[in-house]
Amino acid sequence: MTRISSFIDTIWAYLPGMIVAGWLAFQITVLAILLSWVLGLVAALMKTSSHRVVRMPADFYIWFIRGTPSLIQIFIIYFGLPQLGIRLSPFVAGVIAIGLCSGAYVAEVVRGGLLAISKGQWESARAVGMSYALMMRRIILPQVVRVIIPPLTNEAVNTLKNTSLLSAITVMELTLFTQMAIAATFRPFDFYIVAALLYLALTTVLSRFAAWWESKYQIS
Amino acid sequence: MSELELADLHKSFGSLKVLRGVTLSVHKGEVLSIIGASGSGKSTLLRCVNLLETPESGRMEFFGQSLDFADVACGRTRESDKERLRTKIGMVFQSFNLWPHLTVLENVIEAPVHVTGMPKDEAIDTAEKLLAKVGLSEKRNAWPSTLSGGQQQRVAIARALAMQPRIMLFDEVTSALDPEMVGEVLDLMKQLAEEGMTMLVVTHEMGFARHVSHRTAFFHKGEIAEIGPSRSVLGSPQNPETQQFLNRVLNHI
Ligand SMILES: Nc1ncnc2c1ncn2[C@@H]1O[C@H](COP(=O)(O)OP(=O)(O)OP(=O)(O)O)[C@@H](O)[C@H]1O
Ligand SMILES: [Mg+2]
Repeated sequence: MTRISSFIDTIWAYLPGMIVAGWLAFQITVLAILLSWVLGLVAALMKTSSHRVVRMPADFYIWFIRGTPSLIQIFIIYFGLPQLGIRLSPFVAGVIAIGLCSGAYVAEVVRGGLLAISKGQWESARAVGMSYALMMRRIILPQVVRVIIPPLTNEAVNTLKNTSLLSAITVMELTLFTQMAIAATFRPFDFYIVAALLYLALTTVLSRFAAWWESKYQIS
Repeated sequence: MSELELADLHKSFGSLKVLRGVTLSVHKGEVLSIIGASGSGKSTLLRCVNLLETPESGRMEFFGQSLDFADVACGRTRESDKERLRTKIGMVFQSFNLWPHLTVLENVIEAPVHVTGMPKDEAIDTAEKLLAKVGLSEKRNAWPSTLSGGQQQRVAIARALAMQPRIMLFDEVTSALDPEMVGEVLDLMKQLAEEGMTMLVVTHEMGFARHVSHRTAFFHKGEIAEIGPSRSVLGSPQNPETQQFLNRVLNHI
């Protein structure tokens, strides 16, 4: 009985802080997702180019990101770049590192979506005189979006979970805040469970949003 | 007066020579059918005409505008010039290629609105007239996937007509259709022909070639082996290759 009431008291004291930390993780996630979509789209379009010089930077980016640990990428951005004179706040470094990391996976998802669109769609768009940009914007990408929402959702959830790594560069997000609460209260089990539940709530919100988004695109 | 003129067009894919010097002119208001065996290069010829493929050499003159393909191949022809040219050349494909995320009406107004910058209400007006013409007014808000093949192909024709092209290219547009739907599409093409549309038609429909098109060209191994008034090319072919081809397609059991 006392175990439960002291659990509630302690958690209650730290819950507002945990929610704020969770909110920060969520903000970082949203910004990183936006960054990853831009990077992923550009890299995917570059990768489908017929020119080798255009494809190469995209190939390198995807190869490098997918072949190295996320934590090392984060350390390069936050601890490494200052050596070159580029000093970023933990928040900004975190958004960039997580966004860069996710962008490589988004690129592969978008590329798969582009390959799923039949050649006839590209040709009929070209045949009425559309430019490459107009064809992409009006004909190809709207169709790609429909098929890639599920894998993009998956990647968005991964991005959210990855923000936990930013505890290593002093971003006061949910994981770091939880560790500090544990250091003060010596209740690792209680706090890690609550943190897990908060992450679960956030990933559920993301998935629900994606499901709603996908339903908006159902044709007939 | 010549609407489209092709002179000595050459096109290869790697070591495969697909077009070996094609010279052809299509007059204003003329319907020209192209027949020939599978793989003889008929589609490639149409795709070269609207620059979906780039020939290595040859010239094309399209209503007075001339294009040297050696320049196009070298990238000396600007992408925007090719796009402008394509807006005046309508193309209809064997596989319809309607845009599945747009309704029938949206398919038809898409290019006028976004390529030519026509005001939307004007484009809708034109589109409604075209849909009436192809007999699909009641399908204006339908998704392409809910239409039959014949209906989709008629929408595709309306979509091409919406750009008010100077010439229409048809690439075996009835080959993917169930037999009972072939007629509705051919009737529409016949109607266009009677209205004076300039048409270049790759087809396996010998009836259409003979009765609707003014001239017929027999394509053989990347070259025009025989060309002339449809009745004589199809009725009394001079070239032995044409005779053999016609025997094969007309006398099949
Ligand atoms: N993009 C391409 N790359 C390589 N080879 C190609 C390409 N397009 C066409 N070919 C080849 O060129 C030849 C002519 O093709 P084309 O499609 O023009 O023939 P066709 O006369 O239209 O035949 P069909 O009646 O079967 O449609 C074929 O051997 C084909 O395999
Ligand atoms: Mg063909």
